[in-house]
Amino acid sequence: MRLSFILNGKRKVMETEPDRRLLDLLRKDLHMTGTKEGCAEGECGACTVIINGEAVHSCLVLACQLEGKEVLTIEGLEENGELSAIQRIFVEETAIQCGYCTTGMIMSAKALLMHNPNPTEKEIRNALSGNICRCSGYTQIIRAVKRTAAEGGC
Amino acid sequence: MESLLPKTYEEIPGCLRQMTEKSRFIGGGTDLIIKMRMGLAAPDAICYLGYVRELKEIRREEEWLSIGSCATMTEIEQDPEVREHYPALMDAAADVGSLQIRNNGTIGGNIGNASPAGDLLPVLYLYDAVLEIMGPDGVRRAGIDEILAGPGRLNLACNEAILRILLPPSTGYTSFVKLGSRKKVTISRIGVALRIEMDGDYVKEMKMMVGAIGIKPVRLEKAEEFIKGRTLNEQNILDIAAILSDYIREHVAKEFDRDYKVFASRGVVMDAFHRLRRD
Ligand SMILES: Cc1cc2nc3c(=O)[nH]c(=O)nc-3n(C[C@H](O)[C@H](O)[C@H](O)COP(=O)(O)OP(=O)(O)OC[C@H]3O[C@@H](n4cnc5c(N)ncnc54)[C@H](O)[C@@H]3O)c2cc1C
Repeated sequence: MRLSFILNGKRKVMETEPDRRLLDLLRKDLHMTGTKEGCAEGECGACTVIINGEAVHSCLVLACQLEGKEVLTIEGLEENGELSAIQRIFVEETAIQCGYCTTGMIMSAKALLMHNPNPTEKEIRNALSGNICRCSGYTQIIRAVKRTAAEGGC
Repeated sequence: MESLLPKTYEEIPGCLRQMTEKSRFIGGGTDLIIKMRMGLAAPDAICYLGYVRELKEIRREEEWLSIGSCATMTEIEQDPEVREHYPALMDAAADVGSLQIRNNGTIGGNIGNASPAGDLLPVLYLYDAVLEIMGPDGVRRAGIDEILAGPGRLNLACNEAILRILLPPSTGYTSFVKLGSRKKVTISRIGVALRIEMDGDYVKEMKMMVGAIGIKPVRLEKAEEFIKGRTLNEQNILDIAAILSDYIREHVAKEFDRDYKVFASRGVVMDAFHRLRRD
């Protein structure tokens, strides 16, 4: 099928199969490997991207569901070749250990801050409850999201 | 693999006509995509209804509420009509999976999934939901119980789609509480949906639907009879919990976590009654 959608702000038109997962479209077809594959069944959140403003699992979305939609991935966050505030603050707060959950974590946090620029700790925890970090660095992650909000960035 | 992608309401029947026994609808895909990857489904065609605007809408129709089958859990949870008039549906939608699952998973898919642990099902029974169904030759309506056939099964032809879920006017106080093994991201172990109408301090009528203890939501008529004309004091609520425990002990097979469910039903029932108050 011919698929036309918006990827990180730019229109993308491609030939693909209707049952191609967005995750494979990104990683295998477009070589955008920032989005990670974890459990592939919606439990771990590593593959989280933002579609039409909402955090979803890219492992649980097919090409045939994407026509005309706006997809935002970790690659779309940088601004003029620099890390965006949320990415920079994740680094500065060492909210990253092995790094595998990080991009999904950042996309979930980003979606939260897009809806709610001043979240409470409870709201942050709730928004990130579908993202698992096996290094269990949650404290630093929550701190990074709080600081991003406090500095008015995302 | 074929894709059938109606963009307007008018295009749906033409797509339905092309569907075979092996074709599948997809809402969010949070269930179907996993099944396809496990080899449990290998559709020859997928029909995605989510581009049809009407099927995403939640709106009042006279005294009823109409919910498009492609409305997501998040959209349902946040809808002002749902929050005000059907709060048990808000409770159920808000407790499904994680945020990513709720942003993607739909009410049509929750019904289509027909899981004994499907969180919306006891609530749809509680509110006497009617489904609007479209086949290649027209639209029909049927109650939720006529359509839900058993685990993973619906009484629908392969080319019949659920278009809308229609809820009659709701009276009284309603709530839903589920109990799971983890705080977030959990498949329901027991879900209790309640509707109570009071006459002063006394219960005029109660409806109680319990999910995840049978192949379909179970109506606990014994508890409904028991509470009629009584007050909602702690002892009476504990007695209702005991009726549920007894039911589970008798009807649930041991391998379906029976002992845990017998033990845990008390807390869920207490929570469901407390939640009726919404304070
Ligand atoms: C990590 C995880 C956690 C979950 N947690 C919960 C939970 O807590 N509670 C819960 O209830 N569920 C849970 N689920 C299951 C699932 O997410 C929900 O049942 C969801 O509502 C399914 O909706 P969907 O739109 O994604 O379904 P899909 O996967 O798109 O469809 C499911 C089935 O319904 C059929 N279908 C879809 N739309 C229609 C239609 N309009 N007409 C006819 N048939 C249709 C499809 O053909 C398919 O057979 C969870 C799933 C995952 C992966």
